[in-house]
Amino acid sequence: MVSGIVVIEAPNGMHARPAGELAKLVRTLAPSKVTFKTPKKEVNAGSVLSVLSLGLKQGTELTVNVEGGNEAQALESVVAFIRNIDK
Amino acid sequence: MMQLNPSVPFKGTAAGIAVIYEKSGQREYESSNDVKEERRRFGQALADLKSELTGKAGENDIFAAHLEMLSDPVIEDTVFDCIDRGHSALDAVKEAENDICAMFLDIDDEYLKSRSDDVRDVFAGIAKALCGNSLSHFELDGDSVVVAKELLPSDTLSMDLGKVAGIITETGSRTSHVGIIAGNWGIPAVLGFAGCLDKIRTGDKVVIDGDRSLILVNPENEVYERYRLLASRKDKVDKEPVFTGDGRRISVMCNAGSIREVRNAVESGADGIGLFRSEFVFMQDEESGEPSEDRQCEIYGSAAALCHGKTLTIRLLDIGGDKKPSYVSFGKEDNPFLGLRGVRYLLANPDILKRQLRAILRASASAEGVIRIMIPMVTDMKEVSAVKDVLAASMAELDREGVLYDSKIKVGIMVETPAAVFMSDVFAENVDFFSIGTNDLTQYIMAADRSLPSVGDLCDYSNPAVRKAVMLICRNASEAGIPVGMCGEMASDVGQTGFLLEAGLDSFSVGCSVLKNVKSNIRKY
Repeated sequence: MVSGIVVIEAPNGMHARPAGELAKLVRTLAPSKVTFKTPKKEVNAGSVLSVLSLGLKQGTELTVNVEGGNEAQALESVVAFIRNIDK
Repeated sequence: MMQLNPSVPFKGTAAGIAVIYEKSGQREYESSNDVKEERRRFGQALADLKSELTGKAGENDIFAAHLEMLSDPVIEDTVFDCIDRGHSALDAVKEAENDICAMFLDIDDEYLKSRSDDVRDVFAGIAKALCGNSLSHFELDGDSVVVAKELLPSDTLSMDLGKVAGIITETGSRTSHVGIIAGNWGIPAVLGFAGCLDKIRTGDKVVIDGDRSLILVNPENEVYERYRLLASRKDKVDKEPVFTGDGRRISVMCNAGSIREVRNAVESGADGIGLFRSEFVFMQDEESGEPSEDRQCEIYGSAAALCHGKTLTIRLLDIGGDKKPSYVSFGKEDNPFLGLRGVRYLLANPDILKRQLRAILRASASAEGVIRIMIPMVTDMKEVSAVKDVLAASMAELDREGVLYDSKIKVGIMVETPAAVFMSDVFAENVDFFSIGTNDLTQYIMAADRSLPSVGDLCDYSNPAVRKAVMLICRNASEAGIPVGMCGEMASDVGQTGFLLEAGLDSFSVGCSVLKNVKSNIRKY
């Protein structure tokens, strides 16, 4: 398993549209399993609703965990996506 | 006649006949009391709603987001679980809605917390589909003003928005989804006007006047007809060609980095696309690597078709610097902005260049005179000749294959390096057009990295050095008789318009959102 920490920079945080696009991206990364972890809880990044329920606003620090498949590549894709929200 | 003064802000002018929109009351649903059947019904409702949304998702981000939510395994899991415990499909849907919305309760950001409204709307859609109501259409005559207590995006699915002249609701706001949908359609909307349902009845003549912040109900005929005329005029997108005060025709185009932006630009009255950033085609499906010639041809063809005869300026793949797809490996570069990018990258990867040129040529067959090719990051005439050689070779190949293309396709360059500026007289004799890329040009001329706070201020396109470069480029273009345009940020800066027109710029290419502004500004000179 690999992990990365990323801070949400986008002013509107992880809202519905990027959360949806992210879920799509995570599906393409199978068989890698991607989860997001905050102090509150850990959720499946492929579930839009679960990701939205984390309430990832600007400034939130998020841990991305990837298990299985091409772990490093998958992690990089997810982190890059988060960095580019609303750009 | 009644005048209403809503306390909420709104824009736009509309005049139409009011239609009260009421959602059907408590839904009728009879459980089959059979677990298997309830599961099937839910599955069917989900599928029905998905296909309805798929049709709309292309138009609107909100529906695309709802579609993603519908595919979330959490919904199916929760609902099936509940059905398995003996509940009806409708009850299971209600329980799932409550469970999932509960997950949002402890979010401490107002905006993100209110995303649970999206969830409720999605479930409202599922419930509707389950009760067989989803396909019921809300009938509207042309120019209706829809008045309702509340409107959700799913409500707008069952309306022909082309027939909606205006919207008035008791709840909601400009930033709510319906506010956004109304904005996209250019429909004046008064959202959050409590008590409006008490004042307006179906059949009333309603006028919405955003300039004076008032609503008129059943005004005199004269007044009503005046507003109808006003509303129809304001609706017209500004598609008039732009002339300066002293009669020079200036082309005002848009920059686009996706098919959707091309569509928006053309619909907003742009004179064409001055910069079609082709990188998105290569960054799209990063997992499958570089896009095939067929795929590229499809995309360029779609973009060209959307232009309806107007110009589509395709910039050849411009990667390197800060734009790198993951499937390309660049060697270590200490100065990526001075490294292998733009035309250099293309010439170092001739198969990629040839593939893109072939795709563009093939796409040009069905849109003669529309597509023109633009070469990025040029510093030396040899680069232009080399690209033209590959173009000629591609044309010869296509001739042998019996494939059609626009043989008169124009080739121009981005002028964004100091070398290109100094040699612009030579380049002007050898290419069909120029487009000044002020973003990179300014950095190279001022020798400063715009992203570094310590020197970023130096990157100012109004610096006399940059201005002098622009004037030189325009003069050389004019002397050679080729058009010169600008696609950098400087073009959208209304403070620079006077200078640019004086320097002799023939066309401006700007972001779609500032198109109207730039056009009206040019007309002032």
